[in-house]
Amino acid sequence: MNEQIRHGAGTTVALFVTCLVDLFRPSVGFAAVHLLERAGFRVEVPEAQTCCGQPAYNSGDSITAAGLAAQVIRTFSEYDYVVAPSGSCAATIIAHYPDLLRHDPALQAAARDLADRTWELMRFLAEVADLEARDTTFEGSVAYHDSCSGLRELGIREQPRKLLSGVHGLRLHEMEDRDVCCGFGGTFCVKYPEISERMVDDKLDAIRDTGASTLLSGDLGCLLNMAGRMHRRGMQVRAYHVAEVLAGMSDEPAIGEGRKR
Amino acid sequence: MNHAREEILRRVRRALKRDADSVVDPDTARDTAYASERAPRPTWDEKRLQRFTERFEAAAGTWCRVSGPGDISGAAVDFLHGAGLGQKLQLAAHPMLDTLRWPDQFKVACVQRADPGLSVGLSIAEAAIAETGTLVFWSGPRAPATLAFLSEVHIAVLPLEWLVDHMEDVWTLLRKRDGFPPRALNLVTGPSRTADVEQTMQLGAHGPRRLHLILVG
Amino acid sequence: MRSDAHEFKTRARDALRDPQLREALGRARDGFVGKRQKSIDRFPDFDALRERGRRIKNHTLAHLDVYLERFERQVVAAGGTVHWALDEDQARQTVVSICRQAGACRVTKAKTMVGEEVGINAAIEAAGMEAIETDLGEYIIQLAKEPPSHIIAPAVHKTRQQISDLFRDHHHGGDAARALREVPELVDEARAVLRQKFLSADVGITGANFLVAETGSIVLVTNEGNADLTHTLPRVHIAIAGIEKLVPDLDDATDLLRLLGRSATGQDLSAYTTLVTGPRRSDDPDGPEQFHVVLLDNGRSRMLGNRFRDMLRCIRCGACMNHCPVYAAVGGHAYGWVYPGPMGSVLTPLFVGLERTRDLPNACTLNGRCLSVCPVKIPLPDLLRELRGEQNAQRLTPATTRYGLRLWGMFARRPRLYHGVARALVGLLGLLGRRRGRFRRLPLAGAWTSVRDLPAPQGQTFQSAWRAYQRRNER
Ligand code: SF4
Repeated sequence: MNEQIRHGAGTTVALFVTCLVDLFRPSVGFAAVHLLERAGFRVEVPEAQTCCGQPAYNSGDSITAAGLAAQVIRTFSEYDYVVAPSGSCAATIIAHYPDLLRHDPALQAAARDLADRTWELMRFLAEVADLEARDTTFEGSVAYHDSCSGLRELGIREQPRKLLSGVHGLRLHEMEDRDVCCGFGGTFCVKYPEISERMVDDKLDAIRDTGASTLLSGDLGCLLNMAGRMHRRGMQVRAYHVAEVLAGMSDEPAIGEGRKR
Repeated sequence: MNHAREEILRRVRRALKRDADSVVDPDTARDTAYASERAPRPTWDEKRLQRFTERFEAAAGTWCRVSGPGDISGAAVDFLHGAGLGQKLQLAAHPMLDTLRWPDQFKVACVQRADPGLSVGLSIAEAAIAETGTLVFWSGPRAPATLAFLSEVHIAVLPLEWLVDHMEDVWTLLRKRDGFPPRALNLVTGPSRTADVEQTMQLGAHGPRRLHLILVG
Repeated sequence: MRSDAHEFKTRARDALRDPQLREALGRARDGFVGKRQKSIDRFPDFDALRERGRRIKNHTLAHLDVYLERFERQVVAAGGTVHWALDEDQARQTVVSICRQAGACRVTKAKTMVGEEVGINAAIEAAGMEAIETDLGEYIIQLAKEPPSHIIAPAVHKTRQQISDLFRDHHHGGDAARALREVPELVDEARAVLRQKFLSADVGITGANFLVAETGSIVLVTNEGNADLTHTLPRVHIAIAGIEKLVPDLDDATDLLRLLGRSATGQDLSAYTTLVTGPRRSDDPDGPEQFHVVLLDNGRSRMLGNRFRDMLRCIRCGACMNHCPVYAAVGGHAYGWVYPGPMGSVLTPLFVGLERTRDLPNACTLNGRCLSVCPVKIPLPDLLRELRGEQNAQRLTPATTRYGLRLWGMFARRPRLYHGVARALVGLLGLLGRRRGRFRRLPLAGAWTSVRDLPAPQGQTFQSAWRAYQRRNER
C-alpha cells in the first residue's frame, strides 16, 4: 500500500465519468474512484461535465461536437490528469479533439494540451499509478472483451490483463477473434440492428466457447450491447465493467440483472 | 482523346495547387520522402541457396541440382521418368540447350512459339530471387513466354550464379542489360494456382500444374 | 457500372438471411485473416513497410502530373500507345474502338476492377463482340450474371454446390446427372473451356496493379497465370488503369508488391508477377502487335484535391474487407457497386454521389480494424466520418437525426439542466427496471430492443450519487 501512495502522492485526478456510466451504471464511477484513491490519488468530479460529443462527432455533426469539446476542455483545464473509465470516450478526447478543432488554433492547442493529460482508466492504473490489484478476490472464470477504440486508438490490451492477473481466484480465458468489434458502434447498433445482431451473436458465440461465466470489458457501451443480447438469448454469462471487478465491487447485480429482494 | 489528356493533367495540377511556372523536382523530393532510407526487407540466416529452395518448395515447386549444363538433359529425363510424364519435350531456343544430348526415344523439339497441345516445356530462367523463391524469365527468342504458360508441366533451368537475394537485386542486375525491360518479364513463384472455389488451393488453374527446377552449378 | 448502393438496407437484410452466403463468408474470413497474419509474422517489421508504402504513394500522388507524363513517354518509347479517359464513357469508347479497329470477335479479360468500374464487358458485348472473363472467380460470376462481391476473390460468396450447378448449366446443357463436384474437377473443366478462348482471342484486356513511370511498364499480379495468357496470346493488348496506380520506379513497385501479396492472400509474392512493357519486339516469338494503356480519371483528380486524397493510396488488396465484421455479415453485394467493404464505402459515395449511397458511410461501427491492416495506412474510419460530415452538411442525413443531435448538444451544454433531467429520467427507469434489471421493450428504444434487451439504469446518476456520497463524508 505504501508503494502505491507514493505513486499518487496526493495528486488530484479529475474523473471524466462519461454519459453512459453517469446514466446507466454509477457503480463503475465509484469503482474508478475507489481504484484511483487506492493508488493514492485524490479524485474530483467536475460538475460541469456531461458528454464528450462523440455521438455527434461520429454522426458527422462536427459543429455540435466542437461545442461539446470546447466545454470539456474548459471543464478540465485545471487538472494534471483526466481519467475516463472508457476507451472510446478517452480516445475521442485524445485522438480526435485536436483534429475536430483544427479550424480554431487556440482551441486546438488547448485540445492538444488536454489530450496529453487524458487517460483511459486501465492504462492510467497500469502505467501511471502502477497499481496492483493484489488485495482483491474474484472467484470465477472471465472472458475479456477489448473495446475497439481503446485497443486500436489507445493501445489498451495488456494493461487490463495485467491488472486482472493480480486478482485472487480469477481465471482469464481468451476468446477467438478477440480484436473483432462486438457490433455496438454507438448509433450504428440502432441504425442497423440486424447487422449489429449478427456481429454481437458472433461475439457471444466466441464468449460462450471460452466457457467463462463472466464477461468483462472496459467500455460500458459494448457491455450494454453484449449483456442486452445475452439476456435476449438467455445466455448465463454475467457482465461487469472491469473496474468493478478490480475494485472488488462485483457484489452489485451484473449489468441487466435485477435486484433480488 | 487529346483533349482528355490535357484536361486530366490540368485537373491534376490544379488539385496539386501548381501554377504554370512551378518547378517540380520529384527525384529530390522522393529522396527526402523515403528513398534515401533503406526499405525494410525480409531477412534470413540460412545460406542464399537454402533460403531459395525453402521458399521455392513452399510455393509448391520441385527441384534438383546438377553440376554442369551438360547434365541438364539427364536431370530432365529423370524427372519425366519419375513423374511418368512421357517422352515428349519442347525446348526454348537457348544456346545453353543447343548441344544437349537426349535419349533416342525422346521427341525433343526446339520451338519459338509453344505448341498449345504440348505438355512439357523447358526454358532457362534469367535470374532467381532467394527472398521469395522466384524465377525470372525474360521473354524473347531465347525464352518464349508461351513455354512458361501453355505447358502442363514447366521445367526451368537456372545457373546458380544467377541467384540473387532480393527483388531489388534483380532490377540492379537487369537494368544494365541491353533491351531492358523486355516485353514481358515474368516473375514466377511456383506453379499456377487458384483458390476461387471455396478457398481451396488447387494447382494448375491456367498455367502449368507443375514447376520443376534444375539448378546448374 | 450502375450502382445499387441505395438498396443497401434491403440487400443487407436478404444477405443476413442467406445460409449459403453465411457459410461462404465465414470460410473466406477465417482463411484470409489467418493467412495474412502468418505471412506478416514472418516479416521483420511489417509496420515499417506499411509506413514506407504510405510514403511512396503519398509522394507519387503529390507529383502525379510529372509521373504521368514520364510514364507516357516511356510507354511510347517502348512502342505502346497511351489513351486518356476523363470518365467511364470515354474509357468504354476507347476500348471498344481499339477492339473494332483490330477487327475483334472475341476478347479475353483478366480481372480488372477498373474494367468493372466503367462497365467494359457490357460495352464490348453491345458492340457485338464476345467478352470472356478468364480469372476463375470472375468467370464464375460472369456465368452467374452477377457483379463481383470481393475485389480479389470475386466469387467468394459462391459455394461449391452453386458453382457445380453453374457449370452443369453452362458446360453440360443442364445435364442433371452432374451433381456436386470436387474442386479439382471444377478447376480442370474451367481450364479446358477457357484454354480454347485464350487461343482464339483477338484482344486481351487486363488491368494493372501498378504503372511504373521509370520504364513505362505495367505490373500484373495473378496466381492463375490468366493475365499472362491474356496479354501474350491475342494480337492486341489493352491495359486499363486508374491514374492513381503510378509508382516512380521498380524499387517502389517492389516495396508495394511485398505489401500487396501479404495483405491480400498471405503470400510473400503471388505466383505470377509480370512486368509488361510495350508490344512484341521485332525478334520476339510471341506477344501482341499492339499495346495500349487507358488511363482513367473518373473522379480521381477531384479526390486528389480534397480531403479524400488518402484514398488514392489504395492498392486494392482487399485486406480491409477481409477484416471488416460488417462485410463478414452482409457480403460484398450489399454494397451495391464495384467496390465493397470499407474501401468501397469510401469510394462508392465519391464516385457515384452521396445521394444514392446514403447508407454506406454509416453502416460501420468505426472499429478501425480496417485501418490497422491497410498496407498503405488509409485512415478509412476518418474518411467515413468525413463523408458523414458531408452528408450532414448537404442535409442528406435524416432530419430527425440532425435535429436530434443538435438538441442533444444544446442540452448537454447546459450541465445543470442536463443533470436535473437525467436524474429524473434515470430515477424513473431505474424504478421500472429494478426487479428484472432490464427491459424487453421500451418506448423510443425500439431499434435497440428489436434485437437485445436494454439493461436498466441502476437508478441514480453518478453525479447525484457522488454529490450525496460527498455530503455524507463531510458530515
Ligand atoms: S483500403 Fe487499404 S486495405 Fe483496403 S483494399 Fe485499399 S489498400 Fe487494401
